Amino acid sequence: MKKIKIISFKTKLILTLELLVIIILTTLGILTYNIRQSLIRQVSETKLLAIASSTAAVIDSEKLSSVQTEVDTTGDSYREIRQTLKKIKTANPGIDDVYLMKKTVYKNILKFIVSASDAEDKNGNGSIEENEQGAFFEEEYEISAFPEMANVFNNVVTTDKKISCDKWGCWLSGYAPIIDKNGAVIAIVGVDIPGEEIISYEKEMRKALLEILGTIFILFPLFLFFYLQYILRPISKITKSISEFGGNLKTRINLNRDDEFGLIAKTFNQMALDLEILYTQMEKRVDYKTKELAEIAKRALEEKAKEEAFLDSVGEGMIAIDKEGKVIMANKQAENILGKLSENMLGKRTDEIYNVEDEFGKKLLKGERPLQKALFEKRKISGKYYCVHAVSKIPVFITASPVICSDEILGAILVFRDITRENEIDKAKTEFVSLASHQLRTPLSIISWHSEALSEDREGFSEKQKTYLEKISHATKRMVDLVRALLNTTRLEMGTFSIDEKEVDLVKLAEDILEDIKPLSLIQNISLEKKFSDKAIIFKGDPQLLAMIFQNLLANAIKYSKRDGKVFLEVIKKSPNIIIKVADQGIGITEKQKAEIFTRFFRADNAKEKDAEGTGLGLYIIKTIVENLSGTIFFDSAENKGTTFTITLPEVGMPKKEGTRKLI
Amino acid sequence: MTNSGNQKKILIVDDEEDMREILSDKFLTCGFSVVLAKDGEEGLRMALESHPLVILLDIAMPKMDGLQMLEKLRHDEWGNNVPVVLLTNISDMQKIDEAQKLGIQEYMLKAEWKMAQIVDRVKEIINK
Repeated sequence: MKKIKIISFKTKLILTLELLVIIILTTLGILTYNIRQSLIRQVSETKLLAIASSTAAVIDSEKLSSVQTEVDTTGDSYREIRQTLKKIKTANPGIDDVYLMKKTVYKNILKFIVSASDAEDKNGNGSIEENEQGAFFEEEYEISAFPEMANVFNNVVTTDKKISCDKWGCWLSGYAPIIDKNGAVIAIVGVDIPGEEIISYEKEMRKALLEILGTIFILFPLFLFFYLQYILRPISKITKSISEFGGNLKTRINLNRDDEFGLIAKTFNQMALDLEILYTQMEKRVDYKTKELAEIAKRALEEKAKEEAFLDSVGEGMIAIDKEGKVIMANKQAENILGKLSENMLGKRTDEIYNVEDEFGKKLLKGERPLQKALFEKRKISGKYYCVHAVSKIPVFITASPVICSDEILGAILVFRDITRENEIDKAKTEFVSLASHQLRTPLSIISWHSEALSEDREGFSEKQKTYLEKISHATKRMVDLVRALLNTTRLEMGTFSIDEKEVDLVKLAEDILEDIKPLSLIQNISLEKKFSDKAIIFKGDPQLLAMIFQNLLANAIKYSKRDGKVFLEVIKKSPNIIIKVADQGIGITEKQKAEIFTRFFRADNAKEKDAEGTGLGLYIIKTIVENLSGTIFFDSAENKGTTFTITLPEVGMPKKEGTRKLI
Repeated sequence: MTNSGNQKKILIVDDEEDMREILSDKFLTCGFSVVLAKDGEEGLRMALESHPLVILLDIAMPKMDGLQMLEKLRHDEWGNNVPVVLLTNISDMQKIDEAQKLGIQEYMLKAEWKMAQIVDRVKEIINK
């Protein structure tokens, strides 16, 4: 925290206040001084005017008129006048001189008539200097330094406005006219007060004033300093404590006063205490929460480590992308397959990391890639693809699943495995199956055709021989059926069967199959019933696969019907699906074996009893085909009452699929 | 091996002797004249020499297999138009497709058909 410069503020305050006080005092002093000075002058002037007027009144103008020459100065009139003046001077201490003057022909020169002053050794040097003598009769006097003097002849009583000096000294003088009985001014009275006295008085006053001001100048700052100290000390203490409080919550303001500062300090201390308690509690809680968080973080790390260990130990490569299509996770196996470290994949789009080709080697566009498809179409995509990157082209089996949380797509996860080895095994298996089936079929064909030839030429055979021959034919047919079923199963499992795309009229197809299967139904006298749409149902699909579905289901229905029973076939269009229903009134499926009827090689106990020759592959093959065509198959059955199989196929048709083998 | 006369003549090309014989007997019984060959090489030669109405051709055979023979046959002016029934126990789609591209009338899996059915089919082809 930045320290506040309290001194600077204090100094400024002191200086400002001091300056203010000094200005006020100085102004007051000057005002006082001026008032006093003008008061003193006024007193002096009044005194001068009073003395001058009274003197003028007591002087007999006639006697004064009689004094005209030097000789007249020795006369009684002159003496009497002088005596009067002297009395007036004595009666008014502070008066230096009282004198009478008359006009001359010169405007600024007057002549003395008489003066109250005698010659006097003022400086005490034993001799009378010129300026120590009184004025002579008819002594001329230059009055330009005393401008009011001339005015008196205009019959006014007046005083000089300032102290003026002549050879006798400096004076403040007052004047009054002496008027004869005709009203004419014949002379003037002059009264002098020594200027030095006024000046020195004024000087003393100024000195006293300066002394007072000086004392104030010295004492006032001191007073101000201590006063401000008194005021600012608590502020300083409070400020200091507050600034320290940030670093130390135990800081308190030690101020024992009853005023507002005391209240501030008390309130602050209370607040500090509250804060300290709160802080301590908070610290405890923070400690507790920190520990809890550390625990959570530790657990999360452990979980993450476990997860990573788990993900890394999975044999399949895994890549997770966010909804923008950027990689957010890739496990060790993904690194191995793609030949890239996960840190080089994170944050990138998968098309920046590798290319995808379909199983026939056609490069997929961005939107066709399984991961993007899963993300945009919000469905699981799986299949065989090629993963192509810088150094190699690896066959992979991919499953891409969208990650959806409350209807919001969060991203997608790609699980893939290198199927190079699987492909090799598949190829070997395919070749083996192909070869085996060929090798098996060749002797079967020979047996079959020779039995055929024999049965055409059976005239000479005994009944027993004929029966044997039939059994051979029948067994051969079973064997052929079994080889076919096995081969189809293998192809279905390997995904190598192909789906053709042709326009098939399902109604016609169903009719044809019913016709084909009629001989079989006649054996047990089973009636075939049908319910088809009036119009043709044109369906885009593989006629062979569709025929296989009908054949298998109808053959089963007939096979497992009771004598004289009914088999019912329904083919209808119910948008968006096509529904195929095959119902019988046969032996039904027992409750406990219902779950297993689509299992490969499984044969229900009651079915084995009825017909020992089945392969246990028919329903398995149908279910696999239907599901490959994006359809569904389900059944409803009651033991000894019958079974209904229902197949739904999307009316848009089957997806075309290239494959190496056809199902037959 | 050649059955003389003006009867309907067919050529059976198959490496399996038992097959050839029983089938030949069947066709003979049904009034055909039959030419037999045990591999593709022989089959091609016989075909070009005897100009049968229909050729029944197996696939897996030594020396020259059925597909190679078919290819060569289709290069011949006469051979290019002769109907061929692929009669085999092979169900490899690639090979069937290949044969179909070269031109065959019918693909019949031996084990799935009776000889009588094969004869019927051949008759239908000839009658066309």
